[in-house]
Amino acid sequence: MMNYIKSEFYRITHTKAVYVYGGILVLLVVLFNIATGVLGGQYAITSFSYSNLVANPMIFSVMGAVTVFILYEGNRKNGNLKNTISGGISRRKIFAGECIVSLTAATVVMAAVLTAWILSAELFLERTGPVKLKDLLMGIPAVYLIAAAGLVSCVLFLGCFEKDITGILVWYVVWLGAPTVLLYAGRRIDGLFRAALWLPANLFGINAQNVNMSECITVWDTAEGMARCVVSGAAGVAVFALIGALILRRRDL
Amino acid sequence: MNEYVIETRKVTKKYGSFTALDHVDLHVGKGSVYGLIGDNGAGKSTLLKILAGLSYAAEGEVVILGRNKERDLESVRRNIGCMIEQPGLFPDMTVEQTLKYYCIQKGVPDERRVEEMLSLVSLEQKRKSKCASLSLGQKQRLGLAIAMTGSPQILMLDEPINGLDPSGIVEFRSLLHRLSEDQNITILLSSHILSELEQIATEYGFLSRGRLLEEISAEELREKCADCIEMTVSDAELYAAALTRELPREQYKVFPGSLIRIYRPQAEAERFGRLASENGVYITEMQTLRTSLENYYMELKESCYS
Repeated sequence: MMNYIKSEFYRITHTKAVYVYGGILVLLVVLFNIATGVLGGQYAITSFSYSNLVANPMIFSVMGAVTVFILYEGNRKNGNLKNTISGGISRRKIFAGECIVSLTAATVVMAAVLTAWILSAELFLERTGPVKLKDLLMGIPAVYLIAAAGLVSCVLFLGCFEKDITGILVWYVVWLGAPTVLLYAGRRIDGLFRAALWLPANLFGINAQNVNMSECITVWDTAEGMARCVVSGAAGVAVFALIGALILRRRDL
Repeated sequence: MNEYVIETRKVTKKYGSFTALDHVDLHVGKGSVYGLIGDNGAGKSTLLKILAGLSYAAEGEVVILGRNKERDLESVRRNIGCMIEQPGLFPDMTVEQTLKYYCIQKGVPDERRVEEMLSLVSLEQKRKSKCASLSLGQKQRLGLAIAMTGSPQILMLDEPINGLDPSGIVEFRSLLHRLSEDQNITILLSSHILSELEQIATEYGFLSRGRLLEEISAEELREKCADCIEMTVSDAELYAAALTRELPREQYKVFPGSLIRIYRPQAEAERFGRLASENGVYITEMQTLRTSLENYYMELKESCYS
């Protein structure tokens, strides 16, 4: 498996895709902060800038899935996996390798983008408002495992379906559609509501946190909330990794 | 006892109600060039995919280099180079990067291996070209180079000459000859272009509708395809009766339209002409034929399904 991981790192570092993706994100966040600062007014503050991330932690999961898509989209169509499998690397090892490689790449991109975000915000915006840098930084450990679960599930869904677009749609339904449905269904079915609250999209839902221009209450403010985030993320990683190991184990290519 | 590097036992593969492979028993001897012959949809690619681990048999057993357990097969496949259907390439990587990628993946630390492979498939001039910009023939050659990066004992190639121009075919054939003779690599290749297989294969397997009809060595095939006399006669029944007294039953065959073929190496046309006149049978047409691999395959299919 190490050889497969090494070869994938070689591929990522020798092709443009991840650099372009990371570069575009860095450019967008810097431009956003510059534009906010130049335009002035009540939004030209760091609090507003940080609140875009703090209020929408699911963006980390989406970005994780996008990283997987950029790295492994077209893998089946191009037939690259055929060479790897026929070279004696099992599907489980490939699945694990893809998860590790894309998690590493996503972490590096996230670090670069957050650095650019914070530096540009601190440089171009006024340091004031309820959402502090601390709130953003504390959010990272809270959402990291949840984002990792989103990423692992994206590797799984891209591997499961013949067409990449199907995998992406299933990812969207599982991560963003189903939690809402389960939450509404939970209002009628006892027990389901409490279970649905553990799903990340509901965990960070409107009732769970309140981040705006006048206050900043996040899920990870309390030890219990932070623990819920970590447990939810860890469970997600475990569940999707297990499903992937089982489903992709003997899949025809 | 023959030493088989690849063997399948009663391998069966179904897609829903369609049986793609039906109890296939394949035997590929060490050092041989095994030509897997079959029409489109006969099951060639399915069989190669199962051998390569890309697909799984519903029934039966695969034995490669003496190993048959799934976990063992995974490790044994490191000794196999494959090119199944189109070669799998990353469109945005260069030829050189692609080979380096697979060298890393196969644990080949020596950087010179990339140069060796480029030179083996004559792609030195294209080393900096993106895979997406290669012609089909160049992609096929790069696919072969990828298959060869791990210095395999066995090469499995599915329709490798598809899309190659005539000079590409000649180059590819001589390359396979070199690999087989100089490096003693066992080659299993499938094709429906039989004239090409005829020039390289030392063993043949005939696959049709998922069934392996026959396995035969090139030597046996040459004997079976030896000269035959084809004649159209006035009374095929009468002439066949006369032939029965002269030849074993399997040495001649009566076809519709009073056509008779006498399969016998160095068949004496004069002798069979005389036999006809002695029995009052007129010969309206007579010619000496050499059965091609195509004809042999067609007749084999016909006899198996009639």
